[in-house]
Amino acid sequence: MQQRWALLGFLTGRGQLEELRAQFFRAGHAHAGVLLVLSLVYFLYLDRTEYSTAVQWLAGLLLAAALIILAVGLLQEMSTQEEGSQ
Amino acid sequence: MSPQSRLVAGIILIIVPTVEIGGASILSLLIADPSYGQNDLRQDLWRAGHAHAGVWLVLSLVALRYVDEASLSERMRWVVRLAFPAAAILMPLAFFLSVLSPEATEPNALINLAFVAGLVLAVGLLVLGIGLIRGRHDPEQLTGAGATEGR
Repeated sequence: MQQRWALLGFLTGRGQLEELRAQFFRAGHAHAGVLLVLSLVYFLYLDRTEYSTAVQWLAGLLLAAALIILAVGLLQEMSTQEEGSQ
Repeated sequence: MSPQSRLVAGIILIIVPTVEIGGASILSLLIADPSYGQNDLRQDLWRAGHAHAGVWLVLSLVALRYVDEASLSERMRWVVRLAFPAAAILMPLAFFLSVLSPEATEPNALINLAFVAGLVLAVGLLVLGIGLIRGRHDPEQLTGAGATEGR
């Protein structure tokens, strides 16, 4: 949520963002949103597999972990780029 | 899936072609209209409008698969069923209508509708999320054909 509104602020001129960071931010925001929807669909189909409960939990947790790592990596990249530009 | 959710899903699917029309419009502007290519703000906001419309409508369809399994009253289920598509329609409206003029250098006040849309989506997300977490151990929530199909 915060991320989306920050991006809107930059686009409408209330914030400053250099070109490369803006593109990076946009790509990160778009991928995060689409992957989130994809993961919801993933769980719908996971229920229909014939894997044991343990395997289903493992698959679900792996997916959740991947999403969290993606988000952390994105934020980290943003902050290091910010330091570099100062 | 309940008949109510199926109705909303049908309406959403009928709305999706408008997103296609919007995409085709943007594409032809990019190809044929040099003034569009020079206005970065318009390009940014219209691209954002098109993208949010597409992704949020898909998100609405997915939410409809979950809402009937959530531990919510029928009234709250309707809040979820309507909040997602409403946000998916309001968000692009804000992006498109705020820079309607080809000479626009900054968005007009309608851009604030984007924040409203974000809020509406957040309400839908939170209600559905809480409903799903509350009902996760309750087989009573799994009613009808959708339930047996969904498990």
